[in-house]
Amino acid sequence: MWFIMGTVVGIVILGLFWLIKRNNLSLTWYEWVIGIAGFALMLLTVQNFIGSFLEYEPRAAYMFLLVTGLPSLVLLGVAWQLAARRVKKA
Amino acid sequence: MVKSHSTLNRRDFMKALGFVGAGVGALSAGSPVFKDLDEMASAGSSNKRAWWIKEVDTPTIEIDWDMLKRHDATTIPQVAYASFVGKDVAAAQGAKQKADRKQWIAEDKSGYTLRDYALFDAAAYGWQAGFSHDFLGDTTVTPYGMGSPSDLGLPAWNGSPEETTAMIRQAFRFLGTGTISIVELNENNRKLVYGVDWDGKAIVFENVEKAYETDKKRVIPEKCRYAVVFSMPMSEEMNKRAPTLLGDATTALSYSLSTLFQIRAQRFFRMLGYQGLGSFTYVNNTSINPALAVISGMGEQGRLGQCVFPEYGTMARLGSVITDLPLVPDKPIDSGVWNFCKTCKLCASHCPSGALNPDDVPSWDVKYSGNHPGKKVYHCDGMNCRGYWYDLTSLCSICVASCVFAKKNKAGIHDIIKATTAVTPAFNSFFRTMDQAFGYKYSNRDPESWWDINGEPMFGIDSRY
Repeated sequence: MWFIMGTVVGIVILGLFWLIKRNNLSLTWYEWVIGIAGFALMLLTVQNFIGSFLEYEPRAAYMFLLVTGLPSLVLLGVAWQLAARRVKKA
Repeated sequence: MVKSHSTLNRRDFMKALGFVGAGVGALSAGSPVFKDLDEMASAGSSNKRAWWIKEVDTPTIEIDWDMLKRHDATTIPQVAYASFVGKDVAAAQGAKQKADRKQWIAEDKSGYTLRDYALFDAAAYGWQAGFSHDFLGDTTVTPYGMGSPSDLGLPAWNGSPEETTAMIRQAFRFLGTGTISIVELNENNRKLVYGVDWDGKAIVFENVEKAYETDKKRVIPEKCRYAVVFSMPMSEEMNKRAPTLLGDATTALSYSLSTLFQIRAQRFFRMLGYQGLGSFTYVNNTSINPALAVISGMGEQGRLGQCVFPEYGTMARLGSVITDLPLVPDKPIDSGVWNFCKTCKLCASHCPSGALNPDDVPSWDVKYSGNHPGKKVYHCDGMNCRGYWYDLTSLCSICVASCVFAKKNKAGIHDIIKATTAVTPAFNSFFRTMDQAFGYKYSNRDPESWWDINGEPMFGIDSRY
């Protein structure tokens, strides 16, 4: 599981830097903070979602989607919208 | 074409240097640093544990060593129940237990079917019957063996306590235990060895060379100054099915494996030229193993009256062997468990017999004559607990199964929570509430569903630790 998680993290980070470079984007410090927090929460969700199923605890798995997964999506969405609207304005 | 020169450009070189630097940094962060050769030699003598398990000078519970006396094992429920409630009452309860179990097997009651009973009985082999073990250890010379060093005219093992402790950890792990810790049997810690054993024999320390046993007493030589405590993990998945014969099966297997391990540990000491003294039956006579485990930092005292391990939670049983082999003792720990137990109370609220103590603060006052006075804890009413086993026809274990620390280790959140509780008790109540909200309830499984699980680990135990 940790190998898969590491691979996914690597791909996401590479993809992010590729996107930033391709579109010549520059993110503000708070966009970085919100984005990294959202990404970390997303990782926590994925690891514990899979881990909980491996522990035969399906209710815990779904609770992780709700309690940490949903906020992670919100944070990632906020970071994306902040950056997108700022670029659009400029 | 053979390239005789490196084609690495400056950018790639700097990138590679970065990776190498990060790698070296990560390795050095995870590797031990030795200040001198002595420190290096003793490196393996201590447990390698998570950073949040802090060694402390005294256990997290308060102990009054003047009040604490060597305990009489004939007062504990396993031994004294019949005389406590009356022999006729106990006999009637025993007869009812057998009749109930027979009926439940016949009815195919979930958790008490014939296959559950067969599994429990097979797992229990070696625990209550089957393996021949005793206080002094088995001295048989096997067909492939040669005897102890003295039989061969050879000197006994000679190593520094640090080297020897590292060797013991390595050997015992191989021989099949979970974790080990070492207690020095000084004047105080000797009070954690029973004064009277389960069968009524006195356990005494005498200034003799060799341990011996008579009809009246078991004698530990003064020079046997160390006890090696060992844990035997249990299957959380099975114990979650308590109170049933399936829940019991993992308890029984753990004790059975512990018995076998005790025999092997005693032989290991003997073949090194030293003495290994253990329980004469089961694995929990001779010494109060949870107390030894707490004093040597294997775990912390829990509300339920057992040692709670940072690694296994409540999912392990204990044994110990006393030896004259010089070793390095371990210190007690603070991993936040005792603090957590003060606010959690899940075990006490789930205890159907009311044996466990739900008070807010621990107390020096005992609940009944079998309690061991001298420690400020949540004393349990062991007779109530023992009596309830008859109603269930099983070993209950609900308190063990309901503990929040009794978790598997696949979801990373458990380590985060354990580390947080070790650092601060501020979130203990929140974590307890979330534990139940997330559905980690001991009773959240149909007992018979265990038979349909694929890929359970050997003995049902995750051997990560």
